[in-house]
Formats: sequence, C-alpha cells, structure tokens
Amino acid sequence: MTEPAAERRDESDDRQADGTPQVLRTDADAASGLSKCPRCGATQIALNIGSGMLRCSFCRDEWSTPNANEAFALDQGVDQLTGVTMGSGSADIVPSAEVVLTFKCGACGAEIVIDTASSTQARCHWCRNKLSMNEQVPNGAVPDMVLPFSLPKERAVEQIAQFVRKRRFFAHPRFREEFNPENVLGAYLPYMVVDVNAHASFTGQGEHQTRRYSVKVSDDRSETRYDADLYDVGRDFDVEIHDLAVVSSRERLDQRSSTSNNVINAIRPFDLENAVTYDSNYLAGFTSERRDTNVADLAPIVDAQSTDVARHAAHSTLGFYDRGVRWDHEQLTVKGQRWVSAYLPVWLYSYHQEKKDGRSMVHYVAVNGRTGSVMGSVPINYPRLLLTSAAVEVAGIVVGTIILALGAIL
Amino acid sequence: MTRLAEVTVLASTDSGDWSSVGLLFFAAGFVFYAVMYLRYRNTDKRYQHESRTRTVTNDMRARDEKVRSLKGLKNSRMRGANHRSVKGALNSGGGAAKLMSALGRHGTGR
Repeated sequence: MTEPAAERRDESDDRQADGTPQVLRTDADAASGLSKCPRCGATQIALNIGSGMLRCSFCRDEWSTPNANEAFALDQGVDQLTGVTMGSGSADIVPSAEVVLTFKCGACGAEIVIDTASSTQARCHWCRNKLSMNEQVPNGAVPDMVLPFSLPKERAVEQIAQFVRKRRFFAHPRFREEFNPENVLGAYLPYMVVDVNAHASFTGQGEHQTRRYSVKVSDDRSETRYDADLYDVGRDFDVEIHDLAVVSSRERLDQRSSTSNNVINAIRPFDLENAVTYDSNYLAGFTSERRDTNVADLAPIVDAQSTDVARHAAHSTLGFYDRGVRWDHEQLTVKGQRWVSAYLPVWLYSYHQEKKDGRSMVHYVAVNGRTGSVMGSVPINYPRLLLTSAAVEVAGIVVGTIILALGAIL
Repeated sequence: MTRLAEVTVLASTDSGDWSSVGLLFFAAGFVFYAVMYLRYRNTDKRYQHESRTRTVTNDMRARDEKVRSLKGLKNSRMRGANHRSVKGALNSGGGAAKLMSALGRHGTGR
C-alpha cells in the first residue's frame, strides 16, 4: 500500500517568523505563598471531592475558582483562531528554570522549599502553615487550568479490585499475592489541550460495488467475485477541532508495549468543559507530575492526530463507497491553534514487576478521576498461559482433524 | 473463543468447505494465547482520538467523478483503502510513535 502524500501547511508561518505566539494570560490574579481561606484566614484548604469545591478544614467554608472555559473564553471562536495562541501556563520551559523553588513563609518568615516535580505545595515546618505555588514560572509546574477529582478513592478502589478480579487466573502469582487496591494514589497528570482551526483537503479514489456473484473455479469449488465502479474522489472542507488532549509528560508519552502508559491514555475522555482556573489547593493530598515538554515538541503529534480527526470527519460523506476509499493526497492547512495546559485527575494503582532477567516493568491500573472509566495491565503467569494454550491447541488439532475426516467422508 | 466460533460459522456459511473449517481449529491455541494476552495486558487499548474528539465541519465540497467499471474483482474491499487509517496513535508503530522516540532524544525536560 502506498502511503498518501501528507502535507501540513501553516498559514501563520509568516506571522510566527517575526514574532512569538499570542499569549493568553491565565495567572493574572495568582499569588504564591500563603493561600488563605477567604472567610477565616486558615491555610488548611483541600478539595472536597463530594462537592468539587475547595473547603477550609477549620471553618468548613467552601468555594471554587472560576470555570476556565468562561474565564479564558476557551469555548468560543475556534473558527476565528489564527496563528498560535497559548496559555501563559503552556509557555516554553526554560532549561535553567529551577524545579526546586524556595519561598518565604508569610506567617513566620522561614524559608520553605517546594519540589515542583511532584507537588506545588509544602508545609512550613515551623508554623505549620501551608504554602502554595500559584504563579507560573517557566518550569512547567503550574498549568493554565485544573480538572478536580470528582470520583472518591473508595469508588476507584472498587473499580480496580473488580478489574483485577476478572483477570486472576492467568495473573502472575506474586502479583496475586501482593495486590492491594488500597494502595491507589490520586495523581494529576499534565496534558496540553489544543483547539485547531484548519482547512482539510483529501483527494484519491473510491470504489462502489455494483455486483457480487459466484464463479466455479473447479468441479467442487466456487469463489466470490465482485464488480465495482471506480471514482475519483475529493473532499475539501473547513474543520474545527475542539479539546484535542495530548499528555505532556515525556515519560507518559512513551506508550509502547514495553510500558503500560497506554492504559492511562485509554481511560479518557475527561469533561474538560468543567476545568477551573488553577489553584494549588486542588492538589492537596494528591501528587502531580510536572509538564516537561513544549508546544514545539508536541506539535508533530497534534498535527498527526488533527489529520486523523479530519480524515474521520470526512467519513459521513463516503457512505456510497462501500468498498472503501484510498486517499492519495492529504493536506491539512492549519489556520490557527490554541494551546492550554491542564492537570487532569487519574487514580493510579501501580505494580513494579521485577523480571528474572533483571529487567523491570511498571504495570498500571488507571481510573478516570471524573468518570470512573478503568483500564489496566496485569502481569501474566506465562508458564500457566503457555500450558493452557498448548492444551487448547491439542484440543483444536483433534477437533480440526475430525472435521477434516468427516469432510472427506461426506 | 467466541471470536473463533464466529469466524468458523462465517467461513462455513460462505464457502461450505469443511476443510477450511477444520484448518481454523488448528490455530485455536495461538488464538487463545493472543486473546488472553490482550485481555490481561491491554497493549492494544488507546483513546480513539480520531472519532471521539469534538469536531465541527463547514463548507464541505465534494468531488465524485466516475473513472471506469471494474469486473471480476477477487477482494471484497478496495485494494489500498486507507480512509479509516490512524497515524497519530501513540501505542502503534505509526508516525506518532516515531515522533515520540525523537522527543525522547531531544525533549525539553531535564
């Protein structure tokens, strides 16, 4: 099969050559340091999963930050996008930017360290106040928006236990022994959410079946033949792509079968329209993974996936071609893109498997922190699976031989 | 095993040839292994971005011009049909997987 010539043109290239992308400021009101309850001034604030709001542990007051779509007008004007627009939390990571940052406690003056690789909060060890990092520094730790957990841990534990229970027979014996779904961790994973305004153009050929019939190829054997009409086919259209999400952690992008990162990808989609403007307090009690890729790193993946989306969007007009269409030339002309970084909620059960040859692999069972959708990888007891497959093969050979013999007799 | 049974029924209905049905059973062990492997490891699972991403299309212009009629084709599907192909899946051997490997060598993170 010949690969169609795929092109991706960017009408904004000229604009990019003399300037930087348009930046959508998303941390205008953010402040790092002590983040206080607006009612009582305490800093013990965390997400109440039941209500989806932030709650003060002292006075029980609840509030939430604004919806990100409304605050940054993300749901409007995809068809008007030109050039590249990016949230300020999606800005390029500066290699010299520190990952471990020091803040001065606003209550007692102590110097407090926050390791942004896995969190954007730390507790002052002197006065016990909690310090938050909400301002965006160019190290990828603070995104433009966050989608808070709405699925409680108990539900995630149930989902994981049920998923594994259905896969016990061929599970590795050590895994069966050590499996404990209570060890699930809530993690906010970094994603880039991209809106694309583009023009798609596909040309190729398609076939429409006009007749199906049997022909005798020997005395006791007939084969099916088909007649078809061949057409030159072209589809030319504008396409708006909303909320195309790509994970922005280099480690999670590796979804080959030697990892189990693909199962985390498989629990999507997330209801991104309910994401809110960033506040570190949503992450209290959870872990987070810092973004370590830039827009330029992810652009080739977004372009490939955008072309997939456009190709699929043309399907509804191809019903006549019941034998299929072969696109020889595909072109996606990108008029505009909007990139926004986000933390999305995932309950993760991880199992580190040490293999006999010294290699190791981490198996994940992941639960969507919003919808409860679950997917996972369970380490296999290969001797048992191979033996059982061999038994099935022997049975298959016996049955197959009997059928062949019956066929010869009849 | 259900899939194997379906394949078997289809094959028998289509050709009525006992020998092909019998030969299918010879692959039972390999099919069982593959089905179980995928059930436990789920290496084939991914988010279907091509169909599940919200899309709006406008100003669709179609061109369909008959070229000629084809007779006596052996395949039920068009040779080289690729209108359902997906190239941006990260867990396949496709283009995106190669781009991802390049990212591993030249990525930004420390």
